[in-house]
Amino acid sequence: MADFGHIAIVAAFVVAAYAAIAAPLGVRLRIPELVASAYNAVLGVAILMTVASFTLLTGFLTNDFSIKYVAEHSSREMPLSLVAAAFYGGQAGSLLYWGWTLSLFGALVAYQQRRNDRALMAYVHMTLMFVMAFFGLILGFVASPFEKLAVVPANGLGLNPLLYDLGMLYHPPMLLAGYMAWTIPFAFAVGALATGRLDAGWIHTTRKYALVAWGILGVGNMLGAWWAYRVLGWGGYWGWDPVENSAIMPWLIGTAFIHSVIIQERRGMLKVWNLALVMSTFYLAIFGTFVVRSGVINSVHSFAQSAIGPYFLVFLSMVVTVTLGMLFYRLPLLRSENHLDSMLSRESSFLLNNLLFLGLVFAIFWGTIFPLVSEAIQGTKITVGPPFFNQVAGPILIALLALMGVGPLMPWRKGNRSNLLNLFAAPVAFGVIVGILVGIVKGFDQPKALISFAVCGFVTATIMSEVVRGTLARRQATGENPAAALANLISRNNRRYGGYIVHLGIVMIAVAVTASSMYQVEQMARLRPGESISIAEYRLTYNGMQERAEPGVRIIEAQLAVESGGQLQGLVVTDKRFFRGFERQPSTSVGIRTTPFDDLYVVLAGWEADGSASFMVYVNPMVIWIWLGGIMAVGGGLVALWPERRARVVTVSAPARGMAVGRA
Amino acid sequence: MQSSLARPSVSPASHGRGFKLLVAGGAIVIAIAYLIVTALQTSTVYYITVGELLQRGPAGGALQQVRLAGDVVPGSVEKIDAGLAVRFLVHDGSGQMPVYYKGGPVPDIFGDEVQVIVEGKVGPDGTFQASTLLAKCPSKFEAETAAGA
Repeated sequence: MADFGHIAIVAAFVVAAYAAIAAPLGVRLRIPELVASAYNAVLGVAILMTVASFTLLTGFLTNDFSIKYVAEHSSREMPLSLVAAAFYGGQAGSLLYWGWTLSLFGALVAYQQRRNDRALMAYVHMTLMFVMAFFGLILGFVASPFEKLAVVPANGLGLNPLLYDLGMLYHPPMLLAGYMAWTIPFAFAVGALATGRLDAGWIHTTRKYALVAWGILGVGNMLGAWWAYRVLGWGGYWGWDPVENSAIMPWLIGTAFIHSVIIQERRGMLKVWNLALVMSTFYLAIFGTFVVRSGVINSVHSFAQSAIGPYFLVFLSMVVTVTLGMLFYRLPLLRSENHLDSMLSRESSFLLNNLLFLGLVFAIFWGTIFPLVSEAIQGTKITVGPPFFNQVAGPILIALLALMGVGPLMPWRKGNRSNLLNLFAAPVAFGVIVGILVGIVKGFDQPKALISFAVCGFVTATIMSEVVRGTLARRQATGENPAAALANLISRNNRRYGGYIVHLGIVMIAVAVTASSMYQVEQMARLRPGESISIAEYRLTYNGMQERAEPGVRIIEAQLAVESGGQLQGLVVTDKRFFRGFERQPSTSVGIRTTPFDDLYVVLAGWEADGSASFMVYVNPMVIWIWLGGIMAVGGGLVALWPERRARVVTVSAPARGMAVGRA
Repeated sequence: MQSSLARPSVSPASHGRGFKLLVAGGAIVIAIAYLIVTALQTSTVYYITVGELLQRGPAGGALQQVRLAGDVVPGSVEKIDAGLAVRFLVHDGSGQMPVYYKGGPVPDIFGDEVQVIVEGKVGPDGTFQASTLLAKCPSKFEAETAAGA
C-alpha cells in the first residue's frame, strides 16, 4: 500500500511540473489546448494528492506498521481522534498535509477563476504548480511519508504524550494551512507581474483569498498560544521562540498587506509596495517552514532535523531572485496614479501602519536570526531572549494600536485640522481617563501598562463613536429603529464594519496581554495535605493526592480547594499522566480556573513520599479575553468576507465629516 | 498600463508633502532602529557550550549572564523540595557542569540525556545558577520515542 501512496505522489510531482510548464507555454504559443490541459492537470494534481493523503490515513486506520511513518507516530492503543494528529505530527506527514491543501486550493482557485483572464490565470497556475512540484519533489524523493520498514514491528511507537491534546488536533493544520494559503495571493502577484496587468485587478481577485489566508494563519497562531498556555504549563501563551516568531512574521506582513491594498483599490497608489508585501509574506511563510524544519536556529521546538533544510533554502533563494527580478523589470508600469495629498489623511495613516508593521517584522526577524549573524561575524553565538522582543515590540505595538484609533477618523486625501481636533478630543479624553482610573486602582508604578490601557480606551472610543454616528445617521435617513439601523449599517458596509469588529477584538487581546504580562502574580509552595496558601484574592488548600488509571495511562492528581472572599469556589485539579511507553516523560495537566477577571493557574511540580506536594501557582489576569478577542476578530473577518450586497439604496454619510460611510 | 496615462499633474505643493512624508518615515525608521540597538545592548546573552564555560574559569562565568547548552548526565537529576527546584549535571563531551535551577516549572520532557538550555550565572560555589530551563520539545518523536518504547 505504501507503494501506492508513493506512486501517487510521484505522479502528482510529474503532473504539477507539466502544468507549471504547459500553462505559460500555451499562452505564449497561443495553443488553447495546451492551456486547457494545464487546467486539467491542476485538477489532476488535487486528485493525486488526495489519493496519497487517504493512503496514509488508511495506513494509520489499519495500523499498517510496514509504513515507517505510521509505525513511528501511531500505536494500536491510540484513540481514533488522534489519528489526524498523528498524520501531521511528524515532518513528512506535515509536508504531505501542506502539499495536499495546496493542491486542493489550487483546484479551487482554478475552478472559481475559470472565467478570469486566461493569460493571468496561466501564470497563476504556473506559480501554484511550481510550488506544488517542489513539495512533490520533497515528498517523493527526500522526505517520503511512505518509506517502508524492512522488518514490520508488532506495534507502533505511538504519539508523544505532549501532543495528546485537542490543541494538537487544530493548531498545526491551521498554521500550516495558513502558510500554504498565502501561496495564492503570491501566485496572483506573480501572474500580474508576468502579464504586465498591474492595475488593481489582481488585488480585487485576491482580496478574499488574502483575507482567508490571513484569518487561517491568525487562528493558527492563536491556537498555538492557547495550546502552549493550557498544556505546556509554563504559564505563558507566547515566548518569542524562533518557531513562534516565524509563524507570526508572515501574519504581520499579511496584516500590513490587507491594509495597504485598500489604498491601491481606492487611490491607485502603493502598487510596488503591495507586490513587495505579498511576495514577502510568501517568502516568510517558506522561511518559517524552513526554520521549523531545518534546525538551523535553536528552538524549544526541535523538530526532526533532516536533509530538507538545504532544499528549502535553494527553493527560497530561487523564488526570491526570480520574483524580485520580475518586480524590477515591471517597475516602469507600476507608477502611482495619485500622490499623497496631505499628512493628515487616511492614506498617510495607512502608510504609517505599514511602516510600523514592517519595522516590527524587521525587529523580530533580526532577533530571530541574530545568533546566526553573530556567529558568522564574531565567531560567538549571541542570543536575544524575550526581553529583547518585549522591549522592541511593546512600543511598536502600542503605536500600531493607537493608529487603529486614528485611521478610521482620518478622511481620504486631506483632513481638516480643526475638524479633526473636534473628532479626536472626546476619544483622547476617554483614553486618558481610562489610564488614570486603572492607575488609581492598580498603582502608577507600571506606566507602560497604563499607557497601553489608555490607548486601548482611545481606540474603543473612536470605534464606538464611529458606529454610533453611522447608526444615527442611517436611522435619520431611513427611519429604521436603532437595532435595524445598526444591522443594516454593518451588512451594507461589511468590509468597513468587519474591520472595526476585528479591531475591537484586537483591543480585547491587547488589554488582556497587557494585564496578564504586567500584573501576573506567582508563588511556589510545598504543602502537606490540609495546608493552604494565599495568592492574590485566592486561598488554596491542598486536599491530597490520588491515583487512578485510564486505558493506557496512569494518572496521579492533586486536588486543591479554592476560596475567595471567604467562600468556597470549587476545586482545582492538576495532575501528571504517565502514558504507556512514555513512563519516563510524564505529562503535566495544568489546573486552570477561569473567571472574567483572572485565571488561577496551578501546576503540580512534584511530590514526596510523606504526602507533601509542591505547586507553582500563578494568577494571570484577564487571560480569557485573549481567546474571546481572537474569536471576535475571526467573527469580524467573516463579516468582512461576507459577499457584498449591492447597495443600491442611499449611501449614508456621516455629516460631521462629510465622508461617505462607504466601503473602506 | 492605463495607470501611467492617467497621472494628474504634480503640483509644487505635493513635493513639499513628499518631503514631509520622507521626514516622518525617516523618523519612524530611526526610532525603530534606536529601539533595536538599545534593546540589543541590554538583552543579549552569550550562547556557549559547557567546554567554553569551563575554559573561562570560575571568574569568567560569574561575571555575566550566559545561555548554556548541553545534555543532562544520566542519573544526575536530583529533585529538591518535592520538585520546586532541581540539581543536575550537564555535559557536552568537553566537560560537565553542575546546575541548580529554581524559579519556574520544570518542563515535562526534562530528564536523563535530554538536551537542555539553561540561562543564568555561575555562582561562587562553581554551580551554574539557572533562572530559566528549556528542554528541547520532542516534536522529534522519531528519535526520542525510541528510548521510551
